Amino acid sequence: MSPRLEAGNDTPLPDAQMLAWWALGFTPRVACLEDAVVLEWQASQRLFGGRRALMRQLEQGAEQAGCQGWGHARTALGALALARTPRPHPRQLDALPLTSLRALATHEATLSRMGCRTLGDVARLPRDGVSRRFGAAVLQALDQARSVAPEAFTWLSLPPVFDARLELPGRVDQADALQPACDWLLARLGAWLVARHMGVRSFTLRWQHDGQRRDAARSGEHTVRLGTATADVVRLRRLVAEHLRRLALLAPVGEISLHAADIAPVEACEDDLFLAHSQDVAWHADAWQTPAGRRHQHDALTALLERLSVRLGSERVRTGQLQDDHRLGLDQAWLPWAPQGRSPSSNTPGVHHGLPHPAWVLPVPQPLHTEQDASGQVHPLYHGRLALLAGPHRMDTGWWGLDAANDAIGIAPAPCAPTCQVAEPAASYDVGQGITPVAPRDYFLAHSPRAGLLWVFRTRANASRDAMPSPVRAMPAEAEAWFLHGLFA
Amino acid sequence: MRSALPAAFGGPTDRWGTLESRLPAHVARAMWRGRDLGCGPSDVLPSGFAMLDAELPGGGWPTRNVIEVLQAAHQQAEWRLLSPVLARLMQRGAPLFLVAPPHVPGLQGLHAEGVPAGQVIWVQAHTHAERLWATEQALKAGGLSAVLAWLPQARPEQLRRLQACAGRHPGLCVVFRPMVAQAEASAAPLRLRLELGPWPSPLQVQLLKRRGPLHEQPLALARWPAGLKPLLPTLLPLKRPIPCPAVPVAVPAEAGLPAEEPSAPFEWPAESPRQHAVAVSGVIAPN
Repeated sequence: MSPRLEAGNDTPLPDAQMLAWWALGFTPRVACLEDAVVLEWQASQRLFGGRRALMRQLEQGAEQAGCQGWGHARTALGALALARTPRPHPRQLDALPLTSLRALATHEATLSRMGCRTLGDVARLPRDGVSRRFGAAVLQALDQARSVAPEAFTWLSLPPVFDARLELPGRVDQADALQPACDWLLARLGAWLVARHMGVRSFTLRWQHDGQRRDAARSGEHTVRLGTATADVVRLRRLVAEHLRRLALLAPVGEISLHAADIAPVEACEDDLFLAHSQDVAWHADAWQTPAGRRHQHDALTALLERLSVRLGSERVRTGQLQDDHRLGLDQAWLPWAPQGRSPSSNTPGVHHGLPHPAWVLPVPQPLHTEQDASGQVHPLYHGRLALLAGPHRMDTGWWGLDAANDAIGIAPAPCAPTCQVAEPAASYDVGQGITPVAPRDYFLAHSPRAGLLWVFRTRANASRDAMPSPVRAMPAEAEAWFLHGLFA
Repeated sequence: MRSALPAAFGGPTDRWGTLESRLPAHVARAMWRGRDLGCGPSDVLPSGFAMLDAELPGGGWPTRNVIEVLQAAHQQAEWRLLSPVLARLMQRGAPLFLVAPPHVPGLQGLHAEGVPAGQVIWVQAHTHAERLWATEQALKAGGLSAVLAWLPQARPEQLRRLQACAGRHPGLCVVFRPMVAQAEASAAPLRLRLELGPWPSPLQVQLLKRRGPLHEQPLALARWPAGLKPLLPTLLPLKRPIPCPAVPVAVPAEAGLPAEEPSAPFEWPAESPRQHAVAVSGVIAPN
């Protein structure tokens, strides 16, 4: 017994090819027969969870792909005949109408006048008379459908590399209008990935301009990279939509093509007894307790960060990393999230105990106004007069000189190799904007009546004047300068 | 369901209590009486403050819902309020998502609060539309332990949309807005006002909106920022802030520290409501 599924559709050939690729994910025996795709799935029953489960998956997939009908039978032509008849299917193949087999449908008028309505009627006619009158093709089709004669097909093979092109019906000026064409190509890519049991890590979208202008480029391309290998077409579509939104076409485009450059095996969850393949695994409150749930959560997070990086810019989505430095502002680095992932640093610096750490850090210390009271003491002001509770904590370091990159936020450039640590801190520790050594600072814990607990510092007046920002430089040399550096939230 | 009223006002010792005891356990749990604090169908996370848990519906922060926190412009007290629940939540391994925070987060300070440094994702969104989009995508994606968004310009219909998106998010979702938004309607089922009291700066929390009776008296929660742990021996004895600008205040030497740490190093010794009310009013009773 060799059950065959046949999924019939009347759409032109390219969609049948996509359907055939999708079917190749279930069995290696797939062929195109007339206007349908037939596949033999008896050998795949055990892998996909039994006959019923496999049939259900096949029917669901065929329905999603937009097939007009499907049928199961012991022979390919029989399944094709079943797919062409509307449901409910009759139990006997002989009860199918004449139109279900193409070889008989051409002679339908004559056969119906002879009194034949179904395949069974034609089969009961004398064989030599039928072959003399209608040709050998009718007999052969009948015999193959009734499994009297053997069938032979040329099985389809999957191309090793995915490279599909699509010619657009009209010229496209905006990148956003390429979305439907990209969706079509991505659907085919998804089918190809299912057949290969792989996921894609990066792919290239290429387009050809119409050669109207001589100075414009003939073609362009854009590469999309993903954090993890995935075969999820919905995720790919959303990501490509974000990329297209930021793309600008130099000239009208007439043809696009998709090339999957980097594919990798998708991790299969064999270690999960209860396979939770539904999309809602990541949103369950207890998802973190199972490996499959954690994997789904990680995939969902990667997809989210990919989309955010594309829409907002990769430098605006950052992950934190502790640095081996005790100075505030330089003890952390915010690195842009990279799709390729970063290997965890082998040397994780510990938290520096013995020092207070504010939860909010100002990237550039904010100068504070001061007032002088009757006794001549200077008080800094920040939403009220500050009362100093503890201090001073002298920070007189950084004298070995730092390149003032004006990027005092503590963001280091992206590492050059995945394993290297963060590059030498490019943040300038001083408040000024010149290449100067750092003035020593006295840090105090201050309390503001309206703003809570603050981390402020005072720089000494006899330090280098160039290290001060311009409002301080304008002050007389004996004055101190107070700055706000952090807030204890 | 816990009743918020004492027994004298019809608490559990009334005739409804006997009816409840005859019902099956799962039915009794699901029954809601008119004077109870309502509890939605989502899980709750204990906030770490016993007084706050008593006032929150369900006994903790609700998940799958937007929690709206209103703060004054110059006051930042988010981490002190949320770090107990965040520390416990982030043990699961999912990261924390920050959308447009007002300042740069200090990772060392957050680490002291219990938030692992490698699990913090910071999204800088400069326009209001980008902030809303990033928050919505984060809520829909899943895989995050908590989403904290600072949305100073959010309108009520935008909050309603975020509340609809938050229904799928199994973790915490907190939206920080300015104090002027107090007069606007909001779709968030829990709204609270967060302020810093006078010395010693307790958190003053008043629940403006919750599923239950009106919250009358603001709570004063005693919690120092965890980043101040090395300075606690200096701060705890202080009855009022000493304004001393120029003379350096000596930090006590290591030998002067107590032999063992108190059991809850970041809590004030006494947590009874009476003492806090007294502390807030300015007359400090001796400990």
